Amino acid sequence: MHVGVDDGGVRVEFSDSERSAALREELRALVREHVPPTFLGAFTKNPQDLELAQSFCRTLAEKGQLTPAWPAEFGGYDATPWEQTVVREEMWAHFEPRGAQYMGVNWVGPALMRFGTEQQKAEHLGRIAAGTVIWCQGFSEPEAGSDLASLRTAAVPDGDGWRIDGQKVWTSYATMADWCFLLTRTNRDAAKHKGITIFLVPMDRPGIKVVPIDAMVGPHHLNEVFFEGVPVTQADVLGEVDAGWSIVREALAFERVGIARYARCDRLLNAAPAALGDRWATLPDELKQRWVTALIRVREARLLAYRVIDLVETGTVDPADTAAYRIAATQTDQEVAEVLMDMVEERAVGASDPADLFARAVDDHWRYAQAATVASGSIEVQRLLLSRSLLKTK
Amino acid sequence: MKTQLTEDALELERVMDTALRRLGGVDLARAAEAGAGVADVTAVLGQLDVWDLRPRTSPGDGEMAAAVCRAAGRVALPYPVAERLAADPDEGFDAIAVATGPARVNLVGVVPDLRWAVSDGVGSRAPVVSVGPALGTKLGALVSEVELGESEPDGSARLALLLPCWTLLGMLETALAVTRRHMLDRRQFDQPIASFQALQFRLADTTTSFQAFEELTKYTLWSVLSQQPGAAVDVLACRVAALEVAETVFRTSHQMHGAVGFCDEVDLSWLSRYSQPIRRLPWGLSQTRSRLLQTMTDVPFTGLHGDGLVGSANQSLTR
Ligand SMILES: Cc1cc2nc3c(=O)[nH]c(=O)nc-3n(C[C@H](O)[C@H](O)[C@H](O)COP(=O)(O)OP(=O)(O)OC[C@H]3O[C@@H](n4cnc5c(N)ncnc54)[C@H](O)[C@@H]3O)c2cc1C
Repeated sequence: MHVGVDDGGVRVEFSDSERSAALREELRALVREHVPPTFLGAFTKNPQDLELAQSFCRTLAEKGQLTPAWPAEFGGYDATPWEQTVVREEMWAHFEPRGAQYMGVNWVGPALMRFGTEQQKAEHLGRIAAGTVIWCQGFSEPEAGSDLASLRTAAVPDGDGWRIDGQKVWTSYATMADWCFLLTRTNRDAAKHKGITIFLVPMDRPGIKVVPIDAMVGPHHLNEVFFEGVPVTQADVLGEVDAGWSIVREALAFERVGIARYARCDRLLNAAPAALGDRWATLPDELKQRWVTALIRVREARLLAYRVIDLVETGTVDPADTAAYRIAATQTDQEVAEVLMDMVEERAVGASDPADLFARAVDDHWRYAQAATVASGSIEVQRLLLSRSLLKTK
Repeated sequence: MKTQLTEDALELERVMDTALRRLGGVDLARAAEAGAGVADVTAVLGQLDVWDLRPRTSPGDGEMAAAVCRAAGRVALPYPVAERLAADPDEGFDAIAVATGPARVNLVGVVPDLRWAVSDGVGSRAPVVSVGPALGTKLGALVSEVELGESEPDGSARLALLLPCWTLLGMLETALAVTRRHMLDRRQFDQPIASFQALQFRLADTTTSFQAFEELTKYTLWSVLSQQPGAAVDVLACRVAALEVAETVFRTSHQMHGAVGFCDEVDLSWLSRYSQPIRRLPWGLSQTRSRLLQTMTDVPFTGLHGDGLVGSANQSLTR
């Protein structure tokens, strides 16, 4: 019944394959078993949430579902892009019970497989696949945001290695991270994309100081990281010295679709009528119309993700395709957040009953959605990418 | 999961694109408004076996029908392609359009001797027994009022709502293509207007909306052709999206063209005007959305979670 074939060839088909459907069921069952419904993400004031995420990662790892996209030799099963999509959707819909691990799984690991030395692979990949290590991404700096290549944190030659001085900012999970995927400048004379080197640095190395930043998105998402004379050696370099930029570009391309924001939107919008109970009937018609429009936008965002995945599968994806998806998905996330906030009415400014799960979820979603159009490449940068590709003259 | 139409459908679409371009492209609309007939179009589409397609019964034909409608839309073809493909001649009708209230039907008088019916968009249809003169207005040049006979049960509403969305998709694609060309060609302040970031961003956003709609038309086609449980809701959702994106695309296209975009000498003016009957008939945006919400009481808006029934208790966060 899947993939319909008649005389005309293979037709459009938008349902899960049997394998994807089984995987979705398996993940939902694991979530039901191991994650309580009250869980709204690992990054809260309650340390138990973080512990839960860590133990859930180990459970996933035992079931072979933490690194499904990885090749078997590194602890995965070469999941298809469609199966990876199911994992992204189910995890995000259930408030990302993998916590900070997705970063190691989604792009640090694949970057190590592609560019790491045998020793680096042996040191890191097994631990990422087992769900026992947390990575953070040391890219942004106070003066280097969208213009990341202007970063200044410097690695200056010192003896056999280098010493690192400088500052990173907005570094998610830096307080809990074991390792940092760190971008530094090693050559001030080269063009700005040419003098960047990646170091894999343990966060407990002397000279590293992490300062959390209080923020509306909640704890752990934003931190400052200071580097003062931090020693590194050739063994810590990923790829070639001064050639970090192209690695970063390629590594982030593993993250084409990124967070499946639409999946949580889908879940929350669908939960609204039942969660609001009697209040649903009293909502203004206009709000219900916005709700149904939001359902359409969410469906469209999901379909744009599938478009990118289909292009990835056929090897014809262009960064502009991803940009269109990101523009749609991040804006939809914010639009849905507004609709849901209107729906919970006075509870939008805080649910007095801790059991009021829906209002708490809506609050959490709204706060995190605010950053959707800024984090991992702002919407303006996506618009630039897309319009440049559209206006290219051959 | 497969997000592309069949190769057969895309091939037929390419052949049709070429054939329509040879016949004059958007000039066919200019000619139709000046009173020229469309016999050439009937003949060419007949040669391509378009009228042998049976989308109601064959999903493969359904994809080809959708592709054909998009090709027709690309040149704002003054011909009831979607309406003919939504009807099944074996049921006694050659063309069907949705209309409620005072029945106004686009393109109903263009091809002589077609047997037309009007669907109520749900489950009945009535034969058209007489066709009034074309309105001849700027926005409804080829729209006529019709009189209807007795109603009877009908199963073509979904295709009759969906295929015009594919026609509109083709119109929007051309509107964006001519807009891109214009941005590169038109110079002001000593540079192509394409170099202004405000316009680049607007093009990016508009293209994103267009791409989203393009994917939705394929999804809805799949839903209708494979008779998914949510199909009745899906066609209305697709129409809501169609009406929104049409406004977005034409607003962007007109704005970026400046004054010349309103002139009949450029194709944009024709695409914009000829999109109007599809967008206003049978229902505009608010009416369509309100019908969608109403339909969701019985039919699910399917997604990753929940059955999408309004007021349903099947989904809750407590699992
Ligand atoms: C929740 C969250 C988590 C994050 N986690 C991490 C992390 O773990 N590691 C990390 O390294 N970074 C992280 N970041 C930082 C993120 O990558 C940056 O915020 C992002 O790259 C934008 O940089 P900026 O904040 O300095 O904004 P700026 O670059 O200063 O941009 C400000 C505004 O100017 C616009 N702008 C900039 N250049 C142009 C242009 N050429 N044309 C038009 N408009 C332009 C931007 O789009 C934006 O609207 C995180 C951010 C958030 C919000």
